[in-house]
Amino acid sequence: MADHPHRLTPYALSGPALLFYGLLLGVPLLSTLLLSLRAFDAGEATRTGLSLTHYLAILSDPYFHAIFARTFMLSATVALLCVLIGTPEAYILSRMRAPWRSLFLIATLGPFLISVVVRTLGWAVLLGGQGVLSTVLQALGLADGPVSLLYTMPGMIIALVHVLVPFVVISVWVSLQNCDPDVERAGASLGASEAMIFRRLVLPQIVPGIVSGSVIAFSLAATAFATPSIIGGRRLKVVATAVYDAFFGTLDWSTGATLAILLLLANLLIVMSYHRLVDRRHRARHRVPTAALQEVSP
Amino acid sequence: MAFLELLALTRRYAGTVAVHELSLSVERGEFVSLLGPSGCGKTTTLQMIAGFVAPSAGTIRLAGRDLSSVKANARGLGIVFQSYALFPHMTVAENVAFGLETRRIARVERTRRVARTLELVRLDALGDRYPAQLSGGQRQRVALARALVIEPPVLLLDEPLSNLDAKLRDDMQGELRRIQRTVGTTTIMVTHDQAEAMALSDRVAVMHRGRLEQAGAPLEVYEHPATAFVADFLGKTNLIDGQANLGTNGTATLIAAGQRFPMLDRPAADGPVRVSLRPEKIELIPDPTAAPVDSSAITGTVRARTYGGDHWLYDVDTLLGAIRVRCATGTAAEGHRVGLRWHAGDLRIVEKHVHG
Repeated sequence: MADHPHRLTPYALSGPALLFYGLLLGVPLLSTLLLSLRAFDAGEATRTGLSLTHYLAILSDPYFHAIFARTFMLSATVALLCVLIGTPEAYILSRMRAPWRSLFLIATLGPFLISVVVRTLGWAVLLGGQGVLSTVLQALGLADGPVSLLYTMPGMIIALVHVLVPFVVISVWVSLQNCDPDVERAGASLGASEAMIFRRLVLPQIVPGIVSGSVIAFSLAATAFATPSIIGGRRLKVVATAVYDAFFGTLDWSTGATLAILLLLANLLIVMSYHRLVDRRHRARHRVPTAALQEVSP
Repeated sequence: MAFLELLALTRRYAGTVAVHELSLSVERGEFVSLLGPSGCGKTTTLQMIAGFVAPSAGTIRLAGRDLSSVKANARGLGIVFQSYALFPHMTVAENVAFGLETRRIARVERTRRVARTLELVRLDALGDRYPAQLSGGQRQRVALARALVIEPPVLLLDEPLSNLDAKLRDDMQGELRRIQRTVGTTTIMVTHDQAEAMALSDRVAVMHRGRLEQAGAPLEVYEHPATAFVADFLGKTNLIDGQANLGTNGTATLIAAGQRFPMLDRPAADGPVRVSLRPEKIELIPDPTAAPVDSSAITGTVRARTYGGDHWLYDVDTLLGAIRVRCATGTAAEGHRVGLRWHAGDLRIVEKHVHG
């Protein structure tokens, strides 16, 4: 083999992956974009040029406003709950002893081991009017009649949080692994209580993990399809189910494509500005001026 | 009564004993080092004093008060961790102020004490920096300032200088001594570096396999090692096995390899002993035939010599085995016959009743 690999070698090596993604992600994405920009003539359905007609139509329609608002409300709530549940969960997991830690970690990752349809149908069984939740509430005298969380926001939120919490747990876990365990001991030696150690010393160090975990949870919730379509149904449409309906229900492909592109853009915008906001507050302390590295001799 | 007392302190882990019935008294203002190789139990001892590890048996008393039921965050001890464990998201000043915040000390007083402590460790110009922007030596000072600002009754140092390079370690060693003398805080330092322990401490406690081998002033421990382990761990030494023979007029003789060597150190009775002879106590005579015949002298052949800058180390094969000699000049080369001579007072008995 030559001392210097050929200039094209890196491209050749990444070629299969590039081809794979190009064909399966780039091409559909591009055709969706073109579809959304196609001026649609109801009479002929032929290409008559590019226009923003569909975007203007959706952006001015209160029906779609409601769907977008619902989608991002749902995603924000799910992301917030995932953080509130996942962060303490990761902290507790990281402090567990050897055999229990891996057992509970596997249990946390449990939702990933089950097919999305089976898992969601499972929630439908639990949350329905004849379901376990309803029966228990009635037996305890907490409800007068059957209680169904099917086709409700709380039902969707519960099912989505269930599957998205592991993402927050994993990313917070990684942040915790990077923390010096002696920092907590140092805090204790300086007189801090357990609560103060967590709030003042641990939490600020795992903010990057919480941020990336919540970004993943948010964007996966915003684009989730199976859970909203089974638990939310037609009554609580989100953008992903609206896209599906446009493509396969009303056969209005252009509207479906436009919705899909708008969802992608809104998601990108929210995630990027959120990242930038948190990043700016955190970057200052990791900047290393070269002069500081020179020892001030005693 | 001593200020800090460790009484028969024991820590067992599944199947092994990390610390075995360790008793040590530390006076107020004293600087004591726990010295030993890794795994000797010195760090476990420190962690028991700090309250991070619960003793399996024994007591720790501080100013007469039993610390057993006192949690780590209520002991009020200052600790400098080996990794420094600075809070990466806080500035230097915030790091130092943390222990005062937990004590609910008013802002004005807090600022004043932080400034005074940063001045003590000569970091007053860097209060606004973050730990990531500091050098190793500066971080070490922040850790020290953070531990000292709470005015702890006892300062615990866990291998405080081990993360610094050699030159910086020397400087920081001087700094550490200056600061400790200034504030006068009772200090316990864990280290595996015997030179560091001897340079800094009022007393050195040598530990081996969870037991305290000997505690005493550096000079005493070095010159009068109580055990073969202490003699060998503190600097290098030659260990010679032989037979001790008590004379009638208060003298003693070591019989080894068929030769008799006078000894000032007297065992209680005749019998097998192990004797320590420091390499720097031995005089190397390049021409053994020219030397006066002396009962304290033997001859040997130079097997190897090593140049150490300000000294030479010789390995000399003799009837007593390989003897290491340290001297200022390198006059004898490999293969030369040389004479070795020492004072009768330099033979120190470190073990009695040696078998085999």
